[in-house]
Amino acid sequence: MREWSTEERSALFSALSHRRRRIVCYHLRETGSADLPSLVDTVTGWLTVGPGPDESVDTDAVRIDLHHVHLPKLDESGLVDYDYDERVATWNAVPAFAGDVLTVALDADTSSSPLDVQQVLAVTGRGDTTGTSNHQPRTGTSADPDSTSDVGNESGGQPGDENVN
Amino acid sequence: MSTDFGRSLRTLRERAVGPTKSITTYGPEAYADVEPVLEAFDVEVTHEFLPISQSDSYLTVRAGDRFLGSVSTAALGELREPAIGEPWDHETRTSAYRELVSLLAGTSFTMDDKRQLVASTREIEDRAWRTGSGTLYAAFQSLSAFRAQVPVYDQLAQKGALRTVVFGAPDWEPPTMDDVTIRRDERGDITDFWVVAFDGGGDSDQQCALIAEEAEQGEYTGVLTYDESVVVDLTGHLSRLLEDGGLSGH
Repeated sequence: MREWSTEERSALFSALSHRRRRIVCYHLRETGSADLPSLVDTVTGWLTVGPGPDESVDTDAVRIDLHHVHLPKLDESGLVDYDYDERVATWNAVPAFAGDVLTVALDADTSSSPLDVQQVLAVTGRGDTTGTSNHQPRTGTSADPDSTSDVGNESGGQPGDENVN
Repeated sequence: MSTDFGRSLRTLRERAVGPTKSITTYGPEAYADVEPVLEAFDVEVTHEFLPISQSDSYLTVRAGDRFLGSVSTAALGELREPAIGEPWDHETRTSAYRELVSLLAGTSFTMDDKRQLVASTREIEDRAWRTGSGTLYAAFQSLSAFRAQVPVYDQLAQKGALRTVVFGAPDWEPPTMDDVTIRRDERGDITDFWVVAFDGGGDSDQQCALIAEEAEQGEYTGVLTYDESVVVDLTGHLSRLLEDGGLSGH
């Protein structure tokens, strides 16, 4: 697997900074591919009654949002291929660190605790560009607290932003 | 049962059935506890794996390309053992089972569990309770079957201007209750049916009904509907049955 540049990693963090995009990823990582209606159902159901805080959402708004914003953004990040005309999304082979980030994010999204930036930093080796992944995703101890704001800015994923729609 | 009234009810039940809906369940595995509940309904069920906990599982309901809603299956235990509390009880009102029943309006069901039927009926009674006016008709086959519902209907009758009519074969003598009319079904017009209908009290958005027939011993085939024309016709039939001399008053 090729190495991802700092820019690509940054795009990946940015892609995963939104709850709806993460839900799409959790789904696609399991199914491999899915059409837009099935992603809309998955996301609407999750947001309304699934894990984490419940939101009141309109399914048409979710569809428009996924099709025009979130799926193109995930496509841009390299995590997903989105066929805009056919409205089908396909999960891409992703580097190990992306999988680790997703796993930590899933832990946060399926519990009542907010996304733990320290944990994300720990699993990503604080954004180093060597392409090697850290396989100790849940220690949460190797991150330097001082670097939080740097990576936080880079990722666009401050804890307070994490449930912004 | 081949009375005219029975035929009318069956026709209404058929009219109330709409296109087949589909349900997708999301969670770690197809949840064995919810299968018997969903199996009662004529729906297509598929499962999508998601790496979430069983207690976060949910399901979505769709009619063709139209998304209808989602229900938390965290309350799947409740789906298996539906809450049969009083209709005005807040927890009951917001129960996952009630939401499911509501989303599956127009879907034919076959229930061999009377508790599930009673829980399904609560959706109708709750609307009558919230509206607080109009007429609620209930036919529980025999008046003895109504016995367990007496406290509920006594409370319903005390709600505003709501009027309640209960039909049943006269195998038990209910107590006298204000605003509850008991109609003894001496002729057996409605003894094969479990019917609850609310005329909306002037608000067509609140009109709803459940029509079920005990087609086989202990097995009820029916449908819940919000279809205005079906409810209007049904409450018309029930109103005429109430006035009909064939049924003696109490």
